[in-house]
This record gives sequence, structure tokens and C-alpha cells, in this order.
Amino acid sequence: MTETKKTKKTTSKKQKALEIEIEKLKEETDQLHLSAKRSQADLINLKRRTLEEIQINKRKTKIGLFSKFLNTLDELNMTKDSLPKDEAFKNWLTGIEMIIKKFETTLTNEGLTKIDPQKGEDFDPSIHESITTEETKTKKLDGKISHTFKSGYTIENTIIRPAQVILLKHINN
Amino acid sequence: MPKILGIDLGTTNSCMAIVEASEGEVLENSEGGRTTPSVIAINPKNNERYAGLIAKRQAVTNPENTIFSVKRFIGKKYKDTSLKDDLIMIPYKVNESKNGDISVHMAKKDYSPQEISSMILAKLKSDAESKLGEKITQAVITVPAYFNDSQRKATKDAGTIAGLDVLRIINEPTAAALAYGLDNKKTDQTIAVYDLGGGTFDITILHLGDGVFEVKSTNGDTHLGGDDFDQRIVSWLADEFKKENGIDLMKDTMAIQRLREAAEKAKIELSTVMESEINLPFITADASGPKHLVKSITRSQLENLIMDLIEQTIEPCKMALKDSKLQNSDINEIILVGGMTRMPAIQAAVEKFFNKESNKEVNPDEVVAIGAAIQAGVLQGDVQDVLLLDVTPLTLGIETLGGVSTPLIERNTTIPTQKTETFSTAQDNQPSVEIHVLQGERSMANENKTLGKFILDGIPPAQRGVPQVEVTFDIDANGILNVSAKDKGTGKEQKITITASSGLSNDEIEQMINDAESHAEEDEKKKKLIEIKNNADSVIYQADKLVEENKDKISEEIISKINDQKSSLQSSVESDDLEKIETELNAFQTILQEVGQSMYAQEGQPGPEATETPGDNNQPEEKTKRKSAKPKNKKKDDDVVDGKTKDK
Repeated sequence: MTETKKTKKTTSKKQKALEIEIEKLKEETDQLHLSAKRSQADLINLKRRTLEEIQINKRKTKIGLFSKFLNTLDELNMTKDSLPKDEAFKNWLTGIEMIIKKFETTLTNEGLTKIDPQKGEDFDPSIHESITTEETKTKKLDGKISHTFKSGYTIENTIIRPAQVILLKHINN
Repeated sequence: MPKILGIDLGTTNSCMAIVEASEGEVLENSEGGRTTPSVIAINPKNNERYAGLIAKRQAVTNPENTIFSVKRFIGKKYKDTSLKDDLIMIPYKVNESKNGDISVHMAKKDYSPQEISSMILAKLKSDAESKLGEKITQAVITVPAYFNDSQRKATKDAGTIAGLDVLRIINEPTAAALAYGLDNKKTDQTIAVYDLGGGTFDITILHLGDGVFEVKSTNGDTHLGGDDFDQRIVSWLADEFKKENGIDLMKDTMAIQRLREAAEKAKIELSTVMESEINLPFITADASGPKHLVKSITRSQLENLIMDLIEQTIEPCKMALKDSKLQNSDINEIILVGGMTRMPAIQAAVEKFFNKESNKEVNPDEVVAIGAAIQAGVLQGDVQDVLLLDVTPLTLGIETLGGVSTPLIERNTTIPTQKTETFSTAQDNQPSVEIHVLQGERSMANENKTLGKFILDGIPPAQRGVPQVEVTFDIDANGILNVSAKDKGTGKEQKITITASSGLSNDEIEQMINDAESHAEEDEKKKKLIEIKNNADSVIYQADKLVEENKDKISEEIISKINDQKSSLQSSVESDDLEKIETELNAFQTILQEVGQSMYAQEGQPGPEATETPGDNNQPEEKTKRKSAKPKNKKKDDDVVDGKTKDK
């Protein structure tokens, strides 16, 4: 009788130990499952973002390349603006204007949009960058754009560079 | 689980990162930048608030309502004497608040520095949310090592105002050390973190023991940064121009704008090249007409211009070492932080002072944010050892015709992984293929280690290139490699299991990689030779077939021309002379093209396809990957598979 009791006791002890072991393993499995799921989710997210980033990087490469060309275009515009206004230079001016137009058409065909705010337009720092101010006596022009120093450009709603503008600042007489 | 954002809240620029698959990754802001200017502004006309780049873009014309460098004021009292220099340099107004703290005046309202910082944090939070497509509620934010309790508390409050639960405030140098994984090293270490940012310089000596970072000393210059370096170049350019033309460009805002852009560009360029040209046409004009600025600047000229600024950073390094009661030789690691540390002269000066190579692999603009993200990952449980993934140390592949080792799984591929490729036979009616599994970086099979071999037989008789044998390499998480080969036609399959990368020691692996590197050129040559030989063999095979099938359509004269050129090609193949084989092969292909064209002409058909040579036609065997051709100098028991033919 005692023998049976003893055996029973040992069995139940073993059973308990096994149950604890099972519980522990279950917990471990759950954790591993969670970990694996998280890694998988990370991977899926990473893949999605990598694809997005490939697109972004392609655009960035384009932006990088165009920014360099834009400096040259600015300088062509400066050349145009610096030419003497007399008749002797008229054909030179026309020629340079033709080159600038050709350049700008190519940029437009490549998907670039020019930001070229005119005098009196509102200043919008999401597409414009103010570099200095000029005085005005007209109060309602205070804070408005005086003129564009360098045109800005966007591609697919991304700013390649903002338009650099000079703002008007009202002063009393 | 929602992500925890790691934020480097800087004086000039801020940066944010998250942990993805146990690695820190910087998130771009909505303008596409990897760093965000720490600038907040309000347009007084419409009370619109701007943050980051957009705020910076309007700073020049709205200086009194554009707040930058607010980090200098956070957690400080108005009467703090150390603020004297800072207060002179800012164009916006600061006042004393009721509790004696500083308050910043912007668009008719007073704000605490915490509120301004919270606006920067809110901008980062919102940009991160739109980038990740999920809500962010928690963050780890970094602060300079010298920040006191009240500055730390104020930074934490800024996070709270921005709607972030700030789980931890950590020191910037500690974050940088975390980004380099220095906390994983087993031994105690002393780390010097040299941080030269946009407007401040910090040097910190850290001690790392038992996974705990301790700041031994810190020093720096709160008014020294990248802008000072740019300014030196601008001044130099303006001085040189004045000497040559007598015109002071510093009086012309537009010219200064262009000089600044050019100076920054030249500074960046000179970190990688030795000389840069600054070319600014129409920079100004006088009565005589337009003036241009063209100036070359060499790296050493730049270094002369800024050497004293670099020296200014070395003095605090000396002080920090002294304060920590350590010697140069006690420093185990140097970490460079901040964009300016890309400058070779700065790297050289720091390395010379500490007499040690610096860590500069991680982008110095991002290293602190990445470290913050890693700390966030630790808190989140993303960065842990439970799922530490291993990589294959060496490339695994099989032998293909000509003894070439064709890789299937490249080295450093994270396991578990699987890769399948289809191969074919090299000879007509080849009944079996042998799969010779190889490990190593060399191009030739016999120079790599054999892991195992097996034969897949029972391939039904077919022309070479027709049977499709699918070879699959599968490595499980324990590094056990299963290689199987299946004939797609019959479905017959054979496999082999190779355990634990065959026990190569780390030294052996290193040796194999070094061997491959030193033999790369020679191996490449061998491989090319075999490839062209295989190609030649394939073209000969196709030519024979062409002649056989079209005997009646081709004249005797042409057949003999083909045979003559075939002999020349065959003898060139024997010679092992790559160039000779190439020449003969081209000549042979030209003849075959002519044959094709004349055949089409006979049939009265236009022959665009006639330009296709038999060697690159669309036969099925060419659709499958086939590094094969009839082996030259075939040995008696030459078992070639998917490459190597076994024709018994």
C-alpha cells in the first residue's frame, strides 16, 4: 500500500515537473513566435520602404544632377542680364535667350516645374527662400516679393531648390 | 508593436531614427532631408507657424520671429552668466519668465525653450508618423554629456509637450558609442567622442565597463562649428577678389549669398579631392563691365585657412584628458560625430592627438540619432540576442563545365536562406549529372573546398541543353546545408545534407577569403578562358547541326570554308590563348552569319534572324543557365554535370 502511495507520489512529482517544463517551453515558444513574427513584419516593412526608397533615390539622383545644371542656367541668365542694352548687342542677347529657352524646355520635358514668383506675390517659405529685403513705401506691399534672384524648381512635388527671393519691407517716410 | 523614435535634438540640426531588424535607420523628414534644422518661426502677418527647413528659409527676412539655437537656453535661468555670449548673438528677444527661467519672444508671445523644443520634436514626430504609417508615442532623446539635471528635465518636458513619452534621456556621446556597437565588446573601454557640429564643439571621455557608460570628463567650445569654417572661406574669397578688383563683395548681400554656397561646396569637395575651383561668373559689376570670380583652392590652402579653428578643438581635448586623469594611450576608441569631422585635416588632428585611428564608418551627422534608436530598440526588445542571425562565411556553389565554380549562395548571406537555379547537360544524350558542392571564393572548382558530391541519373536521352536540372541550396538556421537536384522532365530527385559548414575554423575562413582576393585576377582570367572555350564549343556544335540539317542548301565551297574555320577555331581552343580564340570565334561566327543570310536569300525571305549566330540562338538549352560546352581533353572518367558531362 505504502509502496503504491510512494510510486504515486513520485509520479505526481514527475508529472508536476513535466508540467512546469511544458509551461516553460510553451512560454519560450510563444516568445520565439512573437519574435519571429516581429522579424517578419520588420522584413515586410523594410521591403516596402526599400522599394519606396529606391524611387526616392532615383528622384534624388535626378535632383542632384539637375541642381548642378540649374547653376549653369542661373549663370546664363546673369550673362543675359549683364549684356549692355544697346543695339550692337541685340543679336547676342537674342542668341543667349534662345539658349536659355532651349535649356528650360529640356528641363520642362524632364518633368521640372519652374517657380518664378513675380513682384507683389505672397511669400511662401515652402517654395521660396528669402535672402534679403528691399524697402518700400507702399504699406500693402510689406512682406511681399520684390523680385526673384534665382528661380526655384520642383520635380514631382519635390523641391529641387526653392526660389530665392527678395522681399519688400515697408518703411515710413 | 509601435516604434520608439530615437531623436538627436541638436543645437543647429536634429535627426531621427528607428530600429528595423536590430539596426538603426534614419528617417527622412517631409522635405526629404535626413536632418532637420532646429528652427521654429511664426509669420507675424498670419500667425502661421513654420518648423525645420521651411522656418530656416524665411529666417533672413523674419529674424525677430525665427527661433534657432534654443538648445542653448533650455533649462537655464535668465541670470545665468554663461548665457552672456549667447544672448548677444541672437536676433530674437529673450526675457526672464516669472520663475526666473528664460522665455523666448516670438510673434507677440512668450514661449519657454521647452515649448520651442517641443515644436521641433512635434515636427519630427509627425514626419516620422507619415513616413512609417503608424503613430509614434514614445521616444529616446539625446542631450550633451554636460547637461545638468534641470536641462535634462526640461528636454524631457519638451518631449511630453510634443506628445511623446520620453522613455530615456541619454548622453549624445553614449549614443554615438552605441551606434558603433561598442557596448557589445566584452572588455572595459575608454572612448573619446569628438563632436564638431554646426555651431558647437564637444569632447567627451567615456568609460564603459559591465555595459555601463560613465562620463569621465567633458569639455568643448559652445561657439565653434561648421559655420565658422565656411565663413573663413567666404572671407578669403572676398579678400582675394578685393585685392584683384578693388571691390568689396561683403557689402553685396546677393554676392555673399553666392559666396556662401560656393564656399560650402568647395569645403565639401575638398574632403575628397585635392583641389576645387570656385567659379562665379557675373559676381558683380563696375563701370568697366561685369566681374567674374574664378579661384582655385587646394586642400592645403583650405587647411591653412582653418588650422587655428582645428587647434581650438585640440585644447579642450587636452583639458578633457587631464580632467579624466588619463593619458592618450588609455583611450581605446575614438568616435567622430558631426559633419565637420569628414574633413581630412580634422580627422588627422584628432588621430594625431589621441595617437589612434578613429571610428568614422557611421555617417557622422546621423550617428547620435542611430545610437538613440538603438537604445530605443533595447528598451523595446528589438535589439536582443534571441534571434541572432548568422551569415554564411564563404560562398557556396557547384562545379560547372570546365571546372568553373558557379556560386549559388554568396558569402555573408544571412541564413536561413534558399536559392534555386536551373542547369542543363553539356552533351547530347547525357544520362546523368554530377553535383559537386563547393565552398570558397575562388573561381575554379579545384581551388575551393569540396563539401560533397552526388549524381542525379536517369535523365532521358536529349540534346545537350534541353534537360532542365533544378539545383536547390537550402541552409537552415543551424547552418545545415541541404543540396538537391531535380530533373524537371522526370521529376527524379537526389539530395545531400552537409552539416555545419564542414567545421572550417575562423582562421581557415580568413585564409580562404584572402586567397581569393590575391588570386582574383588570375582566377578571372582562367574563368574567362573556360567560358570562351565553352562558347566556342557550343558554336561548333550548332554549326555542325546547321550543316547536317541543311546539307542540300549549302554549297560544297561554303561547307569547306566552314570546316577550315572550324579547324582554326579548334586549334586556337587547344592553344589556350584567349585573344586568339576570340578572334577565331568571331571569324567563325561571321561565316555562319553569312551562311544563314545566304540561306534566307535562297528562300527569298528577308533575314533579320540571319544575324543570329548559332551560338546565341533561342534553343531551349540557352534558356536555361548553362555554363557548358563539350569538355576539352576529356579524361576517361570525366563525370560532367550541368556542366560536367558523364557520358558512359
